[in-house]
Amino acid sequence: MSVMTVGRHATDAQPFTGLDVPVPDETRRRIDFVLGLRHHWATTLFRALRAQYDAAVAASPKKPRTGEEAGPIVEALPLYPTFAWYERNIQKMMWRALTEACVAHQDRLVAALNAPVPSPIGSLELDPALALPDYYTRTEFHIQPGGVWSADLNAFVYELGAKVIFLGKNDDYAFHRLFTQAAIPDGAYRDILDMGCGFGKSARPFVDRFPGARVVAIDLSAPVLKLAHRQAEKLGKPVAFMQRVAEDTRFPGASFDLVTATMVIHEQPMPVMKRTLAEMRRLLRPGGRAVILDYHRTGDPLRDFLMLGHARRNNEPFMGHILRVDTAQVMRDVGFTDVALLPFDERGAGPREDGTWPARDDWHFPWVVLRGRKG
Amino acid sequence: MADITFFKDPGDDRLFGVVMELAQEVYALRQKVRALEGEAADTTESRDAFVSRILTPLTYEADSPDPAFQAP
Repeated sequence: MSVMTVGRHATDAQPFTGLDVPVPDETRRRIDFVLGLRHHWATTLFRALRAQYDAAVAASPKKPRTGEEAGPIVEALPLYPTFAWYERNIQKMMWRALTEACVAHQDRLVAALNAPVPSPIGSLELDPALALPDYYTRTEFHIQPGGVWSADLNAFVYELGAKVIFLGKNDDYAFHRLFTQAAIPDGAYRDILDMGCGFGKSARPFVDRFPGARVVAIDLSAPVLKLAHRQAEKLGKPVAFMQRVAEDTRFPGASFDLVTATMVIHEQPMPVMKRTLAEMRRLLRPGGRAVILDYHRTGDPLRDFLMLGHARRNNEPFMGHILRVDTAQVMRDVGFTDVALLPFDERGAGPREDGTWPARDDWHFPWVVLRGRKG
Repeated sequence: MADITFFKDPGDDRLFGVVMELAQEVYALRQKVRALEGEAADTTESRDAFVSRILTPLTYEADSPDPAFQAP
């Protein structure tokens, strides 16, 4: 999980979809404070850092054109260590509070996760023999202790984090609904595959937008898949969840019309990312589409340098690759045609067809939609 | 394994963390007092104002810049 805009309303967030287990008041207050910190960091601190950067650039004979070139200037700014400290440590404070909230109901949550779902309309297929990739198990992505895969409770911690951090009042995951509604071209899709589905927030909107389609969703983590299945059933969304590896799904070729991956490929090492893109193309029928939501450099040297640093500060060690390469060209290299890369404004406008970035003075993640077609 | 640090003295990283933990405690206690006294919880706006007051020293320069003049 990464964050695109600051959460503002933790006290309103309904935890644990479908389970009557409240977040203790004390924990809720701690989470709320962390969200206040995050808001201040993304607005006031970022704007002050921007002012210092602009002044430093104005006084410098060399004008940075890229994030890498901006690095020495940014690292010398008085506010930079503070800005960087907050980015990492706000995230750590958040995980501590969220873990506290989930541990308070650990037995009940884990029991609910493993209880059979009566009369399911979707399905869950786990693969206990699946060897999880080293890059995945050796990294605590987003600084979440234990990652999302090592314990059942971690799925709930992650889900609660997505609720309170993405948009605060985020039970209906407006971000993912916007992606599904605005970034996926119209089409008569019969079979849809969502790669790296997590607890299902990216897969469920496809059921609403394309009600006649079969929706399949895969992830590496058994705990989040169990949660995804449970939540989808609770919400009446038929989805087939499967524990599979994105770069080697073992599905037959040409078996899907649409393959998506939201917030996935920036967590993969570059060779794995290339194999995943090639796998997306292999899985598509002729004329089928791949649609990806991920990051890209913006051309603003300050933002791009901070994003490169975010990779380390948020334990996302492979993200730097995706910020340096031309991912649209990588898609072309694996055989996609009609490739387009569009900045994505998560506040409501969605993909910007003119290719420009929205004018913003707050810190935000540089989302892009990457589309390609199998010719 | 040592964690990433950001200040010249890694002790400052820890000190900053202690200060933020304390601030979080103050905020939580403030909410608890409000609840006990029958007052409504902080709104998003009043919470953000609370955080801004605590963090104002980080951006003092913007509030009151050094006039940069030499006393006669």
